[in-house]
Amino acid sequence: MAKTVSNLILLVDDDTSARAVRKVVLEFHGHQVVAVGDAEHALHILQEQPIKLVILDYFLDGMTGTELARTMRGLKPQVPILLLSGSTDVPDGIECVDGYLSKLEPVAAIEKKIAELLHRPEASRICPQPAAGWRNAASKDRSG
Amino acid sequence: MNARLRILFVCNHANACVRFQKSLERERCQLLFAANREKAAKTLLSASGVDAILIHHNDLLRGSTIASGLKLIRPSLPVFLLTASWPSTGALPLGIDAVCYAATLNRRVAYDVTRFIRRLLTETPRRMLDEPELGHRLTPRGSNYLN
Repeated sequence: MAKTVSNLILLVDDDTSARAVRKVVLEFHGHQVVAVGDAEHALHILQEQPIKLVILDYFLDGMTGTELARTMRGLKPQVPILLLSGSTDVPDGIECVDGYLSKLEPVAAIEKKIAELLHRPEASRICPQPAAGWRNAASKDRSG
Repeated sequence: MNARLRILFVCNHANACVRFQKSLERERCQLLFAANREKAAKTLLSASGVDAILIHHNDLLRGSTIASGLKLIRPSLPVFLLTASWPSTGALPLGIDAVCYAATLNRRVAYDVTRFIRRLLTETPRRMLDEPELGHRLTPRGSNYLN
């Protein structure tokens, strides 16, 4: 059953420990959180639940966070996506997310970014043109 | 007189560690106790003035996993692993700043652990982590802690 809460956050990280701690941190700051470890489960939750923000780890099992973000854009383009990465380099595909932060950022900085994304008006969100493969998949979803 | 240390003590065998906790308190440690990773994270978020995290776990990998998670909240806070398992490679597990080997937990171990933590905290932190020789010397070997 879908939750009827205002700030339901979908957290996707395949690192069990990081996911558990990040969930505690988000809940400590008053958010409701659904935490999952894989892309398939994440896409299912995104479609079923009234998710207001997605937080993705860059390195997921079998794919990158930006690859998953592209697919999510096709399903729910209005939901902002925040990418977290442990790498010091800016990851590829950053244009398909609304925000990017290093995992090493303090909790306060991540929370500030979350608040910013949650309160940003939908009209001002940048929805970049998807890659060709993604566009086909999205069209298929809409027609099917 | 040594200043009081405020330590987040993470241990999933609370009952078995009661005497050891009292020994730590006798060594001027104020303990914040957490039985698992999630409770430790909540404590770390709400408590102020924590000097260090002491994780008691005999499974090095699990201890390291807890440490890595807690480092997301307070990356600069030193994390010590108290364990009966010595790392086979001799390398520090991920997220752990120092390993304290102890086959049994008793008053002597509490004394040595707190002395060890105080020494680490009073040294220049960067130097502690960057200088392999010093880091190695400060990682106590089992014989120091066996009765």
